[in-house]
Amino acid sequence: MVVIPSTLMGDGAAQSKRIPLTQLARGQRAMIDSESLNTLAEADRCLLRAMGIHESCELKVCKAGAPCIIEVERTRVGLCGSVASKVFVKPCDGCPAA
Amino acid sequence: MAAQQPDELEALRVYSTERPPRAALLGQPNTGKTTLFNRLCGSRARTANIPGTTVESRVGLAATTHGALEIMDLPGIYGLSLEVPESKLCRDCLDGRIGDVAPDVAVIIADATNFSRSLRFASHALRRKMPCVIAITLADDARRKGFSVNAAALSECLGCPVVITSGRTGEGVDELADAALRAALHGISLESFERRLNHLPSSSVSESDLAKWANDVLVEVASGRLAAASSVSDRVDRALTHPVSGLATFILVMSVLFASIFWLAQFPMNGLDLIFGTSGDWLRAVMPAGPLRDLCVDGIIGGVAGTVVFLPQICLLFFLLSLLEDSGYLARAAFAADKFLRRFGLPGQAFVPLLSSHACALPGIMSTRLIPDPKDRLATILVAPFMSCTARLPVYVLLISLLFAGRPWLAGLAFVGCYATGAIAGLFSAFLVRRTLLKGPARPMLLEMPPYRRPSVRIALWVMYDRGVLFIKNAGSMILAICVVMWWLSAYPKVAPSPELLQMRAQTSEVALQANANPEQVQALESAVNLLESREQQLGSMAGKIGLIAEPLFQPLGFDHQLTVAVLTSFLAREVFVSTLMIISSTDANDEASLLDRITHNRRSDGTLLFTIPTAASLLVFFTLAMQCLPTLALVRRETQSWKWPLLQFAWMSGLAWSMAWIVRQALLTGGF
Repeated sequence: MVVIPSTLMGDGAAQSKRIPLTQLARGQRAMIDSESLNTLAEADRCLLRAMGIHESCELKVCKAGAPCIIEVERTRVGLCGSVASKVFVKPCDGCPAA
Repeated sequence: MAAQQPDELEALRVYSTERPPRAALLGQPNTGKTTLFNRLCGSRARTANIPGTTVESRVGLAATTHGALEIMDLPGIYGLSLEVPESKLCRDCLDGRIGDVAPDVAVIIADATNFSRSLRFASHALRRKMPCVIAITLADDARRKGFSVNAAALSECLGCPVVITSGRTGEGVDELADAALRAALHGISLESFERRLNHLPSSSVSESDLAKWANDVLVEVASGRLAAASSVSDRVDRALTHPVSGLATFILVMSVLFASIFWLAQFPMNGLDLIFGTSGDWLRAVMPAGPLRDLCVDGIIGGVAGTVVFLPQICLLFFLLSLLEDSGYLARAAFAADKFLRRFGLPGQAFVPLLSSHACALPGIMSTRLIPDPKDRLATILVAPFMSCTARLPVYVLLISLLFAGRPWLAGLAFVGCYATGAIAGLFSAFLVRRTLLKGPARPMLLEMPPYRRPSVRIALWVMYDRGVLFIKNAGSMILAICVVMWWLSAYPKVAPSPELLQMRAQTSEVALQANANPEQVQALESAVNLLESREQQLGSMAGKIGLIAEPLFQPLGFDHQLTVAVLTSFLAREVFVSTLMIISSTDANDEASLLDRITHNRRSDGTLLFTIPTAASLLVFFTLAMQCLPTLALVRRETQSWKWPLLQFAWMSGLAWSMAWIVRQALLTGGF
């Protein structure tokens, strides 16, 4: 799937409120807040980035709660509650919960 | 891909003939790398530790039209620059810092169904100054979903050969081997490397800009669009990671898995038992009596049989685990178990080894390779032998029958109690070890959820074969050596028969010569004399003498020197305990009632009963918790590449077993039993 980063599509997301990933509902889309991953341990942060979950990337919540399952591009990643609660995101406007 | 003329290739073949060129498969997990490796090498592959490391790699030979190519399947990694052992190992391997020789070419795996991420990974790998070939995997899967990549355009974009492949169908596999061989023979000049670098983004580029670069390349070289994962996957994921339905599914799947292992494996296990038994009998019949025959029959065949008999369980376990892993379920199951195991400092992935250890600790420990974090893996290895394995069953049956004769409900509860005691002790030990020697919580679960796929039976068979061969090699080397040493200790020095034994043998001969002798009675007498002889031999052997020396250590648990010998000899394997008890109780091995009766009435040298309730209970607790398994210790040594951990494990398990057995005995004595 060709994913155009939301930063190139206008900045509706940037105006959204910054919330932990755990507060997103199933089906909701959001962008990882810049600097948000810095609160994680370095090994986890680097691993997430290598998996494609980096600052400003757009994600979809496949399963809310703990574990939280998100989808970025074609990658699905499960995050335990302790990690998901430290990742802050900005919900994308116009992408309501499924 | 820029094609080379065959004659040009032949002209390049001035390569050393000492070894074939080596290609390293480098890619992310769940990208079809291992399937591709299996396609490339088939049965011409073996699993071995990368020299100087404890990390396994599969190495095989791929046949190309222009000669052989050695292929090394490196561990799946998410990024070459990550500070995790696997990434560091890949870096060291590519740079030639480990292994006997650096690879001549890197085959970079790019998953067509997750192409943008694969391009980002490839951009890092391509920055190394070495010949590279890009293998686009799962191409058939992507095409089916309406997405395809133009190999020539991508080759132009990245400045290296690109081959479209599918490990499942075999598409492009021969072309890939040829391309890799060609790249290895060509080498890389500074000019062509600089040309390649010009195609790539700067090494200091941010992740966002790297993603933008990958998307630009994708737009240029790919056509079609992959749809997002289906909502069915979402629903299944929700169900499989839900606290209730996830756990219920997990319990169901694991129950079926282990019931299959117990039930299906019994047939080949019985077969193996028969084969080894028959071979031993045959060898005993054809070889002249003496130390060499004893060594072959009791030492080698007996020792190997005790370990190899578990081969069917191991093969079956890895076959079924491979199917589960390939289907995508294992990642979900890890999350289902994670919440519970995390409290004890173990990761969710530890559930497979711990459950497998209920069949046998050997496959359980081998399956800890599923755990990515080294500390988590080591903690799991250390506690896995606490789980009650099938080898403990005969001991449980014997002692529980002794303790609760005629009370089946209590006997059933005692069985459950043995399993629960082992599991609780394992979790408690994990809790302790994560707060002392392996400090720190289990690494938080961050796990890629691979897409659900129909599992490949062919891959599962390969995995099963591979693990089976590895196990047999292990059994044939270190385990065999240790078994032979243990046999020697329990068989030598040979002791002369006592006057009582000689008298009994003479009486037996007299009875046999009588005209009206009952053949069954004669056979029973001979059997009793033989058992008595074995008992004398065992007590006079090195192991027996060690038993006498060690008796004071076990006296607080109520064990006399006979029982101490039985405990010590069962160190070879737990199930040996029952046969040793048969010997020291001087009874017929085929008569269970007689055995129980004899054991119940067995007396110490001072005339008191040996198996009182407190002694039997302490022995049961001791066997539930003790590390009475030499092959397991040998395997732990192999997996941890150090004697420190198996010795520590042995000391902790034995110490805990002794302490708990003593507490139980004292409590029962105080209670008036």
